[in-house]
Amino acid sequence: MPEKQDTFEKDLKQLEDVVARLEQGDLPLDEAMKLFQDGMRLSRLCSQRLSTVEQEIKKLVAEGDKLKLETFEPDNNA
Amino acid sequence: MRARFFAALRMTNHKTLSAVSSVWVHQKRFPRHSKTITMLGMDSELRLEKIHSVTEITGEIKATLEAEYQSIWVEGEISNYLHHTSGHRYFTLKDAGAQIKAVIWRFSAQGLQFEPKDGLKVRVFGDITLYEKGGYYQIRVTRILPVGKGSLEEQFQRLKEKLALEGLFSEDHKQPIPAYPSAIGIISSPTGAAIRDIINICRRRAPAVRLILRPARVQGEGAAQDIANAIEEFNQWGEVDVLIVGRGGGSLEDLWAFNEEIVARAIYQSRIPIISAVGHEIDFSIADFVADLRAATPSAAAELATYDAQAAITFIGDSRTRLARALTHNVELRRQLLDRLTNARVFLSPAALLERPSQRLDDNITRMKNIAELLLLKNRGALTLLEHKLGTLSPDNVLKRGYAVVQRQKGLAIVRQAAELSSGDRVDIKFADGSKPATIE
Repeated sequence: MPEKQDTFEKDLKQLEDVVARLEQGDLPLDEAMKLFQDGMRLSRLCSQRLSTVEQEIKKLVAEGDKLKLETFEPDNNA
Repeated sequence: MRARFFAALRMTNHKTLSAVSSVWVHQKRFPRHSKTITMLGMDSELRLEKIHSVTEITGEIKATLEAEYQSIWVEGEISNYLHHTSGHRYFTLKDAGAQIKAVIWRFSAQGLQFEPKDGLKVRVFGDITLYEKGGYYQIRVTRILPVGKGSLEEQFQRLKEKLALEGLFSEDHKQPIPAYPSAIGIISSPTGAAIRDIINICRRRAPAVRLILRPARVQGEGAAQDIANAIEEFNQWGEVDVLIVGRGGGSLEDLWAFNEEIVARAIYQSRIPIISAVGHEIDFSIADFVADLRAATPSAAAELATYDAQAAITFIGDSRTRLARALTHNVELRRQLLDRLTNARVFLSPAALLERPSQRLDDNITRMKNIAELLLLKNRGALTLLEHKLGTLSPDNVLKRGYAVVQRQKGLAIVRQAAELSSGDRVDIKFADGSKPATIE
């Protein structure tokens, strides 16, 4: 999971860099085309990641020396 | 009689007033009126007064006392401390001049941060209650703080200095909070406003983020240990990017677990960045000092732990627009460059390319002409002389002197020797004034 988070942040940062480089405007056309495609791909990845919705809230429960997740329902537990 | 009078005076503040007679009201309005005092002493007036049962008067006193003495702090020394098997604690609070009975009910005692004992000087918080059956009043204690040496404030200061010296609060040790966590661990009570606030804010801001709660005791006995264990468990489990450790607001004792050394050390040792969220705006807890980031409230912690998904979505949308615009601009620049090149003069009229060399040539010709003319001017005299000389030598002048030239009619070759001619050859004889044809005999 930390990798997943790293990837998202890295993708977002890369997207920012790609936009900045493309905006410099003095690139050869084929390179500009490639950057544009990279940027669009990154933006798709990032927005996919953001559009997922985690409905459930989990509860970390220790069972002996093992840790596992259970569903946590705030209203019922309150 | 006097006691009753003053008891009645106290009742002026109280709603039981409405139940008493108008005579009483009159007396209370003018309590120092000498006539009233006199009247009170008279048998005939005695019949006007209400006769209380013990229960009634006790009830009135209870109402008066309890209304007046709510939420008060009392400082004194503990004596006759009794930890009853029921879980309630009974003791007497005294100082040099007086004493007051005190009780801590079992449910309040659960929040105790230390076990009180005889001789300890404390500050207690609670309400005065009157126990009708025993005929005495007591203070019902809901909070208790040691005073002086051993007080919570002093413990706090000592631990704070100790941990600061050890470097637990060092900025160098603090870990950055990830900007875009995919999972957030929460260590708090599973009930109460704190967890609800955290969940609501996280869901609203970043619905894609996973939330994992490790329910923990956040006050009372064993709370500190439970919080420390929870931090270790998350580190062992390892699948969250950031931890929120906290609880809603409360008294110093309620929040005490967050001032315990064991919690401070667990926070310090955590490899997962921790946001402390102990609900007290003004004061810091030890946990706040050690945590990688301090939030004033659980809600604030949730804000700090999550990114604003909406802002990120906007950023991504903007990035797409900028990409498209930048690419278009790039192409446009290239088109303009192409236009500039194709519109250049050399392409429009290739002759222009030759313009410069030909101009140079023209220049040279002009210069040469000038030089020639100059030379001519210079030599004009010599030239005339030369022309004259040439003129005297010219065949015309020879002819004028009486000579003639014989030329073949064919080819006009000059005949220089008689032997060149044969009979019948046709020749022209050229004189100064013209030619005559002739045939050789």
